[in-house]
Amino acid sequence: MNKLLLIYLPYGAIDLMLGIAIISELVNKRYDLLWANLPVLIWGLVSLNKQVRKMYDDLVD
Amino acid sequence: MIWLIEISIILVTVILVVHARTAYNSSFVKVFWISGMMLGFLREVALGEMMKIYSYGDFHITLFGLPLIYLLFWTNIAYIGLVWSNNFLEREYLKAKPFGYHLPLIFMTGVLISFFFEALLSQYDLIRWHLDSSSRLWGNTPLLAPFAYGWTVVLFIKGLKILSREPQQNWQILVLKLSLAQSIVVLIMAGLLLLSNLAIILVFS
Repeated sequence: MNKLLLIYLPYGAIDLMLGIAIISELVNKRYDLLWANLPVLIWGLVSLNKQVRKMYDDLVD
Repeated sequence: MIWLIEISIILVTVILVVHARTAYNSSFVKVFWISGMMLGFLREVALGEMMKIYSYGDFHITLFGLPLIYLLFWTNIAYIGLVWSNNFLEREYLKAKPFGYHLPLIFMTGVLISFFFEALLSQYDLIRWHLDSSSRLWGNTPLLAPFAYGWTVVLFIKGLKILSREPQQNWQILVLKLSLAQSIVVLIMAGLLLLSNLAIILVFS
């Protein structure tokens, strides 16, 4: 399996749920709940960024 | 939409199992998800049926009267917490020193996942909290909810680390040990939840 895809899988799993949550909030006009998606999205991006950087550094070395 | 939420949790489980098989091995998958389902079952029986902290809405897919997604969900977020913290710290928790930053990060992952998931469930009245606490995140969701997620994943992962310390263990033995330990995990978690609720009441009263 592609290494980048493998790294992304545990983040993609949450992105899938986040996508459903955001669509649901937009459809139901619950804009007050949209903020709840942001903290986990940011933490996921920070963690994924670190892993991708590590993979890139390993490739360069 | 309720169907979509339930099917997506099953899909997320498949995605994570595929990842765990490649990143670890098939024995790890069996140990993690079988004992995790035991945790999910005992947790829901203890908090939902015995302590009556919450009740469920109109879930379509159920097993022994419990929503199937709750048997899978806790294991899924425990695995996500483990992998995300491993990637951030660039160290494998199950092989790392006993004291580190993994557990706080795993706890934080559980808490952050609770925000969006509780918000999603609350729109369809899928979970009804019955806590006498005035401190709420939104609607009927109490401030205790994120702690419930955080403690569950931390205790499960800590239990896995303690019991898998012995080298060259047969995976069947480890599944049995870890599954039996889940009743203690749920008991400790219930105690921590009561303490957390007490702290919330004291801080916000």
